[in-house]
Amino acid sequence: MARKNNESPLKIDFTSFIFTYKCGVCHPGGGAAEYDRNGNRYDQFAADPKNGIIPRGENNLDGDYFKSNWAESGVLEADCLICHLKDYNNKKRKKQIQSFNFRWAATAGAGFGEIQGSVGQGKKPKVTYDLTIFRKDGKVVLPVIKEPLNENCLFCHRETDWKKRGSSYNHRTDVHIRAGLRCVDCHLTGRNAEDIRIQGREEHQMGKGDDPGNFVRDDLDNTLRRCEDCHLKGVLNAPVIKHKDLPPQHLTKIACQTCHIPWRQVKAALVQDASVFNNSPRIEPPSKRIWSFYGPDIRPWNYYGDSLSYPEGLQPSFQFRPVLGWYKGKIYPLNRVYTLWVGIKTKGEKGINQPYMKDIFMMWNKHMADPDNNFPQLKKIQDDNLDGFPEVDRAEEIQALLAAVTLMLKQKGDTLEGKDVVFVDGDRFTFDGFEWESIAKKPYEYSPYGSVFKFSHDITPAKNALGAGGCTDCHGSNSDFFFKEIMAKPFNEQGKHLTENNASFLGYSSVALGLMTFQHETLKPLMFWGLPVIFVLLILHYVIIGPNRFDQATNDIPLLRFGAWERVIHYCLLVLFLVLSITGLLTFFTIPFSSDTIEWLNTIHRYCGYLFLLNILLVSSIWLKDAIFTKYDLEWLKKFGGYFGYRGQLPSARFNAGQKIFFWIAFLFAMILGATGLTIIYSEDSNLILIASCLHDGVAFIFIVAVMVHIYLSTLANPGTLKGIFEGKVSRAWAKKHHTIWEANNIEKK
Amino acid sequence: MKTYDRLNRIFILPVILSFVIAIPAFAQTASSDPVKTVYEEAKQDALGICPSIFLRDENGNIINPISGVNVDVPYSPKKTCGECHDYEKITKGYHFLQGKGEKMTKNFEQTYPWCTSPGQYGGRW
Repeated sequence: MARKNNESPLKIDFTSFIFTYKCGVCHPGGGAAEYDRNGNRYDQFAADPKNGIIPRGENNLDGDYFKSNWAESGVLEADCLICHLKDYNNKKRKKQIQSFNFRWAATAGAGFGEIQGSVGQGKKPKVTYDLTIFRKDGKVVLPVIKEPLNENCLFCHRETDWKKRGSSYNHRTDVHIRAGLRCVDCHLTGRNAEDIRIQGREEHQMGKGDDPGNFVRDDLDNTLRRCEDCHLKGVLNAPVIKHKDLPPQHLTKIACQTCHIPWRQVKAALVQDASVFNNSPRIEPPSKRIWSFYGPDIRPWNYYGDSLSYPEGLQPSFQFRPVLGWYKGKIYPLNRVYTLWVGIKTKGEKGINQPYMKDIFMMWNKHMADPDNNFPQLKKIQDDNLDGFPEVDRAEEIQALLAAVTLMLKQKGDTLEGKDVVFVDGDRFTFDGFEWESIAKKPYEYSPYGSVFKFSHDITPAKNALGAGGCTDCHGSNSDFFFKEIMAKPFNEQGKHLTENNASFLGYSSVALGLMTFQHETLKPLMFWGLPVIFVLLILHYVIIGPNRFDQATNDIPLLRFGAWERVIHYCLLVLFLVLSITGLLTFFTIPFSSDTIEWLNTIHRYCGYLFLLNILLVSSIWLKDAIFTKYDLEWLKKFGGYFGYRGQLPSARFNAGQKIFFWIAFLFAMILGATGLTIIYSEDSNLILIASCLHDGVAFIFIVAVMVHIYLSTLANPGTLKGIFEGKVSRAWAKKHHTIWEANNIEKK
Repeated sequence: MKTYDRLNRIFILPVILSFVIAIPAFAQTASSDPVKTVYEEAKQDALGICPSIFLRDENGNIINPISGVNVDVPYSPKKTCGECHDYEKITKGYHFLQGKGEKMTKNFEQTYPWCTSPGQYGGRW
């Protein structure tokens, strides 16, 4: 857009007049299409002789009046009926705007009459009103709709949102449209608005979302009705979300759209290449030929041809998975546009400027008319990858393009003093095709010069959402969530695409992902089947090998095995371990609890975990001296503690070798579970969380198995042991059988 | 001096009188305008949709094709709808301004030297 004041006509490309002519077809009028940058109404200012505005004249190189004809064309007043009139004919409005009949556009669009004549062709337009719509008193009764219909919104949003987001807005692709919702049901406006920033009578700030690629009124971002505003309370009869079996942390890190837009149904532009000439059919106006688009499959896409060829509201189907990326702390489905273009780099300045589109178009146009004499360098640019579109990828091609643009700018009169023509490829630029410099960008962008659009429409039914098929929809080794290939660069020097997996773009390491898939594909079934198998094996042991009995003497004098303090701590450990195991397993397996229930179970698990750690430390400090290995433990181990048939006496002190091993396993595992648990709760590093989560589950599994064995050995396998645990005392015969040295030491003491 | 005082009284008297007469009128205006506005708004709300209206041209003149008055000019949404609705307030919405008049951040200005606003009017694609 040309500035208001300019020093040279070379500095003017896109004026307010051209903005109204080209962009007015999709903008409702008013604002920049009605008033100049000093607040004057264009047509009145241009018609006032004292302002000296000459139709189509240079007009003091004023960016609002340069080569304009406002006095004749009139302005585009805000056309209320484009949004509020049922059966408004936007095609007729467009036709008037494209004829420079700005003043007559609203009359034609509303269907009040037919317009003859065109300011663009020098024929003053004339209105012929349709008398059938007027009453006898000359008034009209209009079918005005207070809250606009979707069709009216889509006059402007359908085509642009197709290119930017692959939006379709139809019954087949969007569950909300299928349910009969209107755009304004979420994009609340005026007195319907719920956000005080935009609420008010006749206030026309429509409730808006937060798109990374749009910067208009960012202060009004997120003033629309959000998913949770309806789906938590059932507003507008929306199904209230249950999210059964979904761990609640998913909702804090993943946007609703990420799971509920698992697929897009029509293409969106992935690459916008402004470095070559687009020779595809049906591109109007021809100036658009300086842009070549590639679809999500990184194959050429004649977007303009499609948009002209297909009837309004119909788009060719093309299914693709959205790219998932972080934006403001959550994972969203995004369309990141990759751009290739020629820029002008001024020494010492941060940004990269660009030549005017019209100049680039004229350069190519001249070249296409006579390739040998007009910018012949451009002949070097070839379709290296034979995909149907040429691309600038090799150094030779880059140099040719830079030379041609430099020549064109110099021919135009630009001295290029202090400036260099550069080729911009995503987040880097080059002066010569060999040495590249990088451009700072946000993590979700390919480059600051390529817009990023969030997907928010075309929501699928919940049964088709990611996760409806279980955790492995996303956490499996074949899941597209992490492992789909996404474009890193459209072309390398051979014209081949470079890709990376989505997880890499999200910042996940291969170690974290390997453990994540192991956790969900191997560990989970292993635990599901492993725990019952262990249980059955213990029963088999009891049936086949039998308990390790001892001869109970009638005059046995009980020995104190555990003091009251030890027993209390041990009870606590048992209870806490059971609670931790049950809450852990309930949340680990896909049990259809609601998010609230899972959150509640997690809270219990968390606080019991803290107490368990404290208890483990206490019990360790008490039993540490008894858990130190001695040389006779080896003999006990060689005989497997007698658990596989040996019935002789084995040496052991207060704890046998097996109990010592269990002590150290319990201590070590508790520490690992504590560390990984705290990491899961408090870390912000997604990789660490995935690694910690897998370790936590794996270690917990082994720990549960160890405790199952420990409980079996303390009860069924060794009768009499339980007495010591609950009453503190054991019989001398039991002690002699199981803890010979400890029993002997006790006799000595006595 | 006496003549001057007499003249002075002659001029002051009507001025004072006119103020006395005008005060109730001002008071009435001040108290009736909001009521009228509220009532007009309530009427609009009650109707829900627009009543029958005359189309008006850019100068606010009625277009009446039935009687043949002012029939060769296009209608003006601003003057026609603006009869009842606050056109100026409505067109402050971002759909109309498209970023016009919005300030750019320093970073935005440096990164995109060709932009004159953060919106579609003078902004990026």
